[in-house]
Amino acid sequence: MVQKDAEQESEMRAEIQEMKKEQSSISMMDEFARYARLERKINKMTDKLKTHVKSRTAQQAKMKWVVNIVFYILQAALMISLIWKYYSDPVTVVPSRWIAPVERLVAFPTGVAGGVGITCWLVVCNKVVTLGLHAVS
Amino acid sequence: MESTEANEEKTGSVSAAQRRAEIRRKKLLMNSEDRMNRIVGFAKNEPENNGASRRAAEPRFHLELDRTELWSSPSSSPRPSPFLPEASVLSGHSRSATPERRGSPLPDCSELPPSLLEDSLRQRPRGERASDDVGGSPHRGFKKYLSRFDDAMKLRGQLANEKPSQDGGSDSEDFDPFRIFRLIGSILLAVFVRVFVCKYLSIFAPFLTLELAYMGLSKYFPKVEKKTKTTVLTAALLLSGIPAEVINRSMDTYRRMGDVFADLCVYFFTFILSHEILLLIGSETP
Repeated sequence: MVQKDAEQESEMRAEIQEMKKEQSSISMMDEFARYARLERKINKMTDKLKTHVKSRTAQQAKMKWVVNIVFYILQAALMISLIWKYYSDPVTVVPSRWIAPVERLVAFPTGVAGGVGITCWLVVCNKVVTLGLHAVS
Repeated sequence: MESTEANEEKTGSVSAAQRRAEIRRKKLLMNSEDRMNRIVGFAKNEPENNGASRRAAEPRFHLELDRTELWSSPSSSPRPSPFLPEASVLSGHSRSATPERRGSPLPDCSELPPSLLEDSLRQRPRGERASDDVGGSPHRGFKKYLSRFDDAMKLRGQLANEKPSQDGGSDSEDFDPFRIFRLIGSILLAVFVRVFVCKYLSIFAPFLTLELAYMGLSKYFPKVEKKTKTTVLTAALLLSGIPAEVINRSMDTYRRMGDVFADLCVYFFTFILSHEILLLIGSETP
């Protein structure tokens, strides 16, 4: 659909260019009527092109927004499902004195002493991946 | 004979009256703006003060960068519109209250000598000043409302401008050298702590020490001016009356906390990862 729109646009641009070429070859003094007619045609085509481009960009923005929303929903669903499934299993277990004094917070919701809970790990991974993507982009 | 003399006297007095009326009209026209400002309760010094106070209330985080673009126009161009309709209304009121204000001379005034007329004109503003205070507060409120409306319109414009730039690129968090230094430092410290330190104390103690060191080292790195984004939240806070400076400081503190949190996440992630790798290597070696 996007490709079709782009083709239409390029056709319109080519048409406008041709008309402008033709107009430049006409002398305004000698053939004013033809010049004016061409001018009107060019203006009409230009307006049509602008409307077309506007609608296409609006459509693209809408699609982008929808894709973003779907992505965020999927991400949230994945996180919730992972937490639901692995809420009692720690990601890894380390001696609890290593992660003192926040061992309870890190272990939430497993309750295992020294364990790293799925919630904490998801938050950490989320942040690290975000930073990595920023660095790459 | 007597009639011609009387006619001459009449024409002479009429022309004198006309002359006086002309003088009065000219005076009124010359000082009309000042008089209107005084009637409306808008003293000469007020526009400068209001411009300054408005500038203080304006969002500074955009002022530093885009001051001339965004905020110069309202400050440079005084707002005549709120006063013009009021002025026209008030001038109507004033005309009814003080008939001498009309352009056409009244028979009473024409008989008075010019000096008394001038005195009466001078005294009139003093009488009006008493009513200025009464009329001043609604006008001030109206001015305040208009300034808030202007701010809201400008913020809306800024939000609209910032939306495409945000949509075009991802978040505008650029990695400045200090940020990269912090992240690398956190990674290296995590590995060092896992290998040598974790057996003796908590892993967060070295992290806190590192953060304190970063606070001291930050001044040795070039400062990158971060353009504060005008979001809906900041716009709402501004319009609710919270001073821009408070918002700036809060945003700055929030940004610093975000940086520390990012360092902590990277540190913890690297620590756990290195722990797992060491366990793997330890399990693999015979």
